[in-house]
Amino acid sequence: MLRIELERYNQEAIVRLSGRLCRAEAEARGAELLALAGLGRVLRLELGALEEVDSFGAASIAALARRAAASGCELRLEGASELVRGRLERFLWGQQKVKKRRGLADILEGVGEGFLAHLASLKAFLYLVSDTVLWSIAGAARTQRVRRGAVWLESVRIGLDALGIVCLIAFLVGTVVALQSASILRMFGADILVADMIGISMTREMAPLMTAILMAGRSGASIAAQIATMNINEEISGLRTMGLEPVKYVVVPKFRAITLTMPGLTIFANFCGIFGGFIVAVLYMELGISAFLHELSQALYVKDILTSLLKSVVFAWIIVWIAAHKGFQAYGGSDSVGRVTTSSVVASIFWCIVADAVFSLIFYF
Amino acid sequence: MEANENIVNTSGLAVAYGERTVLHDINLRIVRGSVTCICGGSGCGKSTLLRSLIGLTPIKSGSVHIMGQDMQALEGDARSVFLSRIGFMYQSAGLLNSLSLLDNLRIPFKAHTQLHDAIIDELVMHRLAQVQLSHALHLLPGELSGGMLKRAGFARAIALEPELVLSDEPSAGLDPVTAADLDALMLRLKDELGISLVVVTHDLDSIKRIADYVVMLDDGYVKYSGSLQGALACSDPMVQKFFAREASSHGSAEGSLWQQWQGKSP
Repeated sequence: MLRIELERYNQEAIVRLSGRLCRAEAEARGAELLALAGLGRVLRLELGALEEVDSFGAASIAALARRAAASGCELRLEGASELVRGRLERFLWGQQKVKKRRGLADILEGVGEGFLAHLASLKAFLYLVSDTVLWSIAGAARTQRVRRGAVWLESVRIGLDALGIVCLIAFLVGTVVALQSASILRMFGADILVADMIGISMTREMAPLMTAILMAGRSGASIAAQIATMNINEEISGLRTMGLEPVKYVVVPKFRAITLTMPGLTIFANFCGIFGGFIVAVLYMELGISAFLHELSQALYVKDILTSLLKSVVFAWIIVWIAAHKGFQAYGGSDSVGRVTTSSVVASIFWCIVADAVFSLIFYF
Repeated sequence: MEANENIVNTSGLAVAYGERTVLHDINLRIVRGSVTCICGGSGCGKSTLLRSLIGLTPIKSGSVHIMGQDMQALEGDARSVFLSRIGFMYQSAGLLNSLSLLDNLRIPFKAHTQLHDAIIDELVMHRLAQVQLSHALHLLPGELSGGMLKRAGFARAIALEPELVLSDEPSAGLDPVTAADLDALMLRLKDELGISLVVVTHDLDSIKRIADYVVMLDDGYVKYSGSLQGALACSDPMVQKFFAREASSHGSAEGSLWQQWQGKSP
């Protein structure tokens, strides 16, 4: 049991500790001990009657000493037995601070470092973009020898495996858009315009954008996590030491695969979305099949289809570049993989929507 | 040997992975305050034995008593509190990669004590100083070398001054000098804190440096259990072969290959 006796004389406080100061006492009365630091300009801690101190007790006195020093209080340890002194000496060993108080210079330095880091990241991203485009166009005979069939394999993983979910989501989006617009169009007796609505909204916006969002969450996350893990496990370094450029070996097959498959997925999404709207129009709004198809053919232009495909290719590039860039930035451990994957998905979706807005400005205004 | 001198007792311990039994009828007596090395070839069940002692790997039959407590009878909070009296040092340190060493070492104190944060920080700094890692307080585990990582793992294992520390292959992946330094550090802290150490290793140099007692496993059975001196003098061919490795490994590679080509055992 620990006893704390306190005497105060003006700016000086005398604290006598007696009994034992071990783990139980440190847990029960640690806060009380630390509060002694603010009692005066001089704090005399008399330890002569302290019979036993373990490392938890010594840590309590060390914390008190540190707190006293921080508040400008002079702490004097007096009368400690050899045993207690031995324990304390192991603790009062250094002045390393756990938390460093940040001054203005540190904050400015942090801002500057952050800016430089972003600049370096942008530079690395631009290098990645140029390398990917260059090696995709210029061909990579050496890579093809090392990774024969890689583009096909990636196309299956990125494109074919995603076909089901892309079609299902597009179909559901098509039905929802048709159902939502049906009630309003009926008010104006313009039921047939549901064909225009679904045709234009799916081809111009919904199909490419929904496909991109799905691909960013599915394939983009997978690419970022894979490259991040390769980076952490030194597989990327391994490729470099074998004279293989990681971008050429890892990113280019994915870039080619997503460039090939994304327009295909978007075409399927267009069909499924319009089919969803068609089902609602025929079964719920009781429109004729030929009337719907005729109205749809009147509403759709080749430009809409081509814009949709162009968008899908740009979105594909955004997804693969951001995912690869984030993956290459991973370092440390497993935590980093999760962080860059999340960051990749968020950034991909954001930049796809920004690109979509730019497309709308260019083609429709 | 009196039972109260033993910090770990196992009786008829058997462990199985599915249908495959990997440890058979293990009867261990680990002496309090000693360093006991569990050794044997790869895949003989060393790490499984260590993990089964504290329930990380469920046991098939038999019993494990640590500090007189039946480990199978412990559940929930009681188990958690009891495990705070045992430190475990993983082969890869087992630190959380997303946290600095400071935050990694704060975890056991925050989980198992009611200490004030300032006192916890003093204790963490002290533990890191004990393993000569004061300078690495704010580093992430991924930024440490292999030897530093092992020392950090040991610092976390001894954070709450446990009575027993179990260590899985502490010298694996370390160069001989770093491994010897780690052994010296473990011995020093064992004496300083009065802990008992159970170390899984197949590093002969390390065994000779730190072991008071040796438990040798072969294919899931205890082949030898006793003092290090007894193991070195043991007549069992399997034990002799294990401890004689050092002599053969000191022969030149050329000689060994030549002997193999000649059809002679090296």
